[in-house]
Amino acid sequence: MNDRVTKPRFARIISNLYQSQIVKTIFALFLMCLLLTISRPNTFFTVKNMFNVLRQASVNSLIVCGITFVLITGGIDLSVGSVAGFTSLITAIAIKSDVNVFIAIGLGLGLSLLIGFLSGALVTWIKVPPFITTLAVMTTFRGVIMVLSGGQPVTILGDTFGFIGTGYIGIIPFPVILMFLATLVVAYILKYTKFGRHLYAVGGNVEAAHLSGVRTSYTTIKAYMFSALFASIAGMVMASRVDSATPLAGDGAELDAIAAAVIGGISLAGGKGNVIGGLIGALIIAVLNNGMVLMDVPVFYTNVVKGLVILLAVVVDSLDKIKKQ
Amino acid sequence: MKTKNNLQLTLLNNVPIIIFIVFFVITGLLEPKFFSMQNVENIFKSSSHIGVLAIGMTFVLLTGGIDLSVGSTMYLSAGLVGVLTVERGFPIWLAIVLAFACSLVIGLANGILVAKLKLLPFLATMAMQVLMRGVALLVTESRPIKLPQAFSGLGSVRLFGLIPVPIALLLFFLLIAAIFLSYTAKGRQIYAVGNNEEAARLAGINKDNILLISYVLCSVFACAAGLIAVTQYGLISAAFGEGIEFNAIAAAVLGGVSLAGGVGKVFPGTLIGTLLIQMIQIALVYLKVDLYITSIISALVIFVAVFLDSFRLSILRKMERRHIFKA
Repeated sequence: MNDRVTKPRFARIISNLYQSQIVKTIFALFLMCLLLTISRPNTFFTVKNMFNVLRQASVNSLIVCGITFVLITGGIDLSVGSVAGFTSLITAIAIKSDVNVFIAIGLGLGLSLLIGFLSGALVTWIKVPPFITTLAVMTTFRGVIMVLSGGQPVTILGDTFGFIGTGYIGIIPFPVILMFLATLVVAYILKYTKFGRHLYAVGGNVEAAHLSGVRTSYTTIKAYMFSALFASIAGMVMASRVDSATPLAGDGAELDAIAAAVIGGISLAGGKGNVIGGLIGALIIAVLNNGMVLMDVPVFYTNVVKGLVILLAVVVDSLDKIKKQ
Repeated sequence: MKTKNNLQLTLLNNVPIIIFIVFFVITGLLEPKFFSMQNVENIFKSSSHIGVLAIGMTFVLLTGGIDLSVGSTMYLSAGLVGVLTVERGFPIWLAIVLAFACSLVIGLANGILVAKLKLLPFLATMAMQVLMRGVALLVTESRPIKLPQAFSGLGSVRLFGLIPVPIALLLFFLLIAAIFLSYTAKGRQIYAVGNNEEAARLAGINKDNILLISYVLCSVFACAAGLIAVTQYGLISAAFGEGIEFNAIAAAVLGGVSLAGGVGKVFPGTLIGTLLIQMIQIALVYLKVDLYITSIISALVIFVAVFLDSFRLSILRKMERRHIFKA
């Protein structure tokens, strides 16, 4: 209150900017890019490599778009990788049995909504902890993938399907457009729709949200459905890029997505964060991977550096909180 | 009425054991070979390393935390022992001591991140998982490592000519954990912290200290689990221990350990949970079920058990409420 009276508007904006997590992550991303540009002037900051980085970020970022919904409600979704693999496999199988490509994609996306509904219903109605529910969904569908595919990839899916992962609109790769579009849509939903605001309410305090008339179970179920839907879209991009649905596609994608979300300031405790941060988190991870290749860092160090960056991001965030208290 | 309630309560309190017995008997009836001493021994043997891992995980779950780094800890400690003995000519005992020291440091790091820096356990240990797998890959350079026969042969040695070494080690660690949790002050305090942090603090319990102890124990048990696994496989590949943390968590939760903390036991809980998962996998092999379907069935069993568990809690709560009304 005091702050408002004494400080002029301009100073307030600056201090808000300073405190916002997003600005910090953008700054970190900027710094990384700057360092890489200086040390690898001919290879890093070229149009080709930039699109490369963006394309590498796109799959992770699409998953982050979905998982953000669940993380904001205070839940967690470990099943995104399996859902991505499963629905893209279904689409691939459908395409191979001469179903129209668009119907096949629709089938995959529709199934993902069903899986999301299942996870959400189990979490909210039967009150199984999200971690266990989505862990079971993850294992189950990885098993279903193995049964359906017999451990073999389903390949040669045609040019129409190939466009999702390898096509261009103008000079911009289609998955990159998809990534930005998805982020904008999710950002809009979170900020300007009733459902979006309810998500934050549920994540902040379920009881309070329930008492003030928010349909908490409905909101939660919808969050899991969105998570599965975006995971499925990411799965399509993945399968389309290599022109095959492989049985291990998306294995371990959940931890990458959660890492990106957390680097971008989305709290695992729920009720905090937005999807733009998640996008920047995904970009940071992609730049990191790309940069390590360009700098000829031995492959064994990749995990070490990645782990340190995640750790750094969460420690900085947590130190901030401790200081504020 | 009261006896009926008591019966219901006993049944509900022993859901994992009941599932275990039912599954064992049904499989045995379908496939008589299942009822053999050899098979029971196999179930225990294949449970040994996951069991030790799950027991370690139980400490952390009891505080309301989670440790995703155990798989990497397993790989690092086993890899360290392999590299030191095979390539550097260290004596085995020294390599093992060094591996345990290493896991101790990882546990301390986890504990400090969670207790002092107030990171969410999921995040802190996830970062440690990525980091430690990287360090382990640096140590092994991702090559598969074959351990000396003297070490990897331990898996088939019988202690006193009776119990195979891996099972003996599982029982040893189980005993230590059970005694620590039930009969020492620190062990009881783990439950207190998990149940209600604020109340524990007001009761004068040093919460940070308890968290540190839990994470260190979890890592040390993970190291032991890694070494036990090596006595059976004899070979360490680059994917060693990847994703195993989920199996350990599932085993503990299946045995009635709550993810919210404060509830659960290593015996019979976690042990039964582990044995149940392993028994189902072995039973499905006996019944000649498609290998790929096995993982689906295991996931469903975990899910059903957890579902029954939350069902049980809600009934218990209702009963308690009734009791209060009567009084």
